[in-house]
Amino acid sequence: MNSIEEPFTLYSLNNMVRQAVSEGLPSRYWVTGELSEVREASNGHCYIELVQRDEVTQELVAKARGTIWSRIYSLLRPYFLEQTGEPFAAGLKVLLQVSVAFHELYGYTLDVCDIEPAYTVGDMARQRMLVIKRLTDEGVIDLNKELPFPLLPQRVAVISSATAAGYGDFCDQLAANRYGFVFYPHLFQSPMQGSGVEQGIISALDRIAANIDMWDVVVIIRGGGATSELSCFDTYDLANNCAQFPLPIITGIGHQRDESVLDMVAHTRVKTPTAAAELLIHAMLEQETYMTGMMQGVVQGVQQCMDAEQQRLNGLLGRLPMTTALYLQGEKMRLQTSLQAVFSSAQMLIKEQQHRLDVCNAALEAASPGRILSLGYSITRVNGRVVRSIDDVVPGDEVSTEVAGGEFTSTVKDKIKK
Amino acid sequence: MDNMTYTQAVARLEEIMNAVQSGKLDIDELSGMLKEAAALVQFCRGKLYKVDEEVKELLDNLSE
Repeated sequence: MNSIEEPFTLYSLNNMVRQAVSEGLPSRYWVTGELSEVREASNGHCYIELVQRDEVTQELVAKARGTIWSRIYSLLRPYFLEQTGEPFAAGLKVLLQVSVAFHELYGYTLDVCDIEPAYTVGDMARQRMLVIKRLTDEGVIDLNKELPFPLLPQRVAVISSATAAGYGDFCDQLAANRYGFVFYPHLFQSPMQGSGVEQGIISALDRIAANIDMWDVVVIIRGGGATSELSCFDTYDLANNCAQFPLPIITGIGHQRDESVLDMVAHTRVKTPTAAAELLIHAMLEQETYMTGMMQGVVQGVQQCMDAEQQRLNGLLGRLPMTTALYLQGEKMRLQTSLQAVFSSAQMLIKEQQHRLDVCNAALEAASPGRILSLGYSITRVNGRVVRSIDDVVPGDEVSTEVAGGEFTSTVKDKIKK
Repeated sequence: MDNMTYTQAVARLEEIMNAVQSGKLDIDELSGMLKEAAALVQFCRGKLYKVDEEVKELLDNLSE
């Protein structure tokens, strides 16, 4: 306590705070927070602002400035990048070891002594998991993968940064393909690193969608020269836009170590722009091979048909004499059979006729005058006419009488009617 | 055939191949099939290897 008559100067008060802080918080402490600002000064020091947000409302509940002195920052920066794949930048959740300081002029600051990158990796992974889970729950995560890949991926909408080497490599690779396939690549510009990536790619997709029929496939690439920053490809909005895009998307954003969410939702993921070009060339080559194969199939099929036809003809020719003989034999038999039939029926007919003739003959025989005469009958004629009745003659007629063996003449003396 | 898409041409080619390979085709149809197949392959190859000036012009005229 001091009296109103002897107030402290601000400096002396601050000095007391400084001492209190230094005595009350003498150690180093591990603290978690979100980097809301990271500013590298020309002298090599790094000034940061660390915040904490309410988990539900996301409103700030705590804030502190911090300093990473150049001797620490020169080690911390590459170490952090190597471990997390991310540059030490605003937006990241970090676990820092700090000592608490109070300066009479600059106030409350945290001096950063160390960092635990695993915490950031874990947090990014957690964020990523949340995005993946949401895309899965909403049923969109595989939508782009389910699109049929075009048979000829020739009209290629490329999303990339014009300045990055990646686009040039990609076009060179396509143009120099050794098969001579034709491609029509066209650039839709977007930043490929930093905070503008998400909006840049979404806007490029919108511009492609405006003439969707003009494109077969979308390729998102960035050159190998880019930093390995990856978290900008992990955001929900970007992944959602890509997953639901009506054309297949190929990513070649050149991250060796991990797969971004964008890679996960893309139709096909490759590592480099060159590999993306190779993929397209290979798809064309597959068509060429398939078509050649089909043409061969057609030619072979025709050949086989012709061979089969040839064999059929040969077979016919070979079998012709035997067939003819068989035919003839058959015909002969048929003929013989019918001849036989005709013959038999003819014989029957003849026999029948013969019998009738015999009967007739017998009848004739029985009725012959010779046989009648031999039985004792005789034929009497007068003037050459047969006498059939007593009225045919009158007494005095000279008649001749034929009997078996000859005839005699006589004169009618009398006649008696009976 | 000029109005055909590549996909349609390939589908027709598949159809011809299957028909020819089935062995059920009349010998008189073969040469026609062979000719059509050859024309289809030529048409398809055109898409692969020849620059379509119409497509090129369309894309060149895009603002970006």
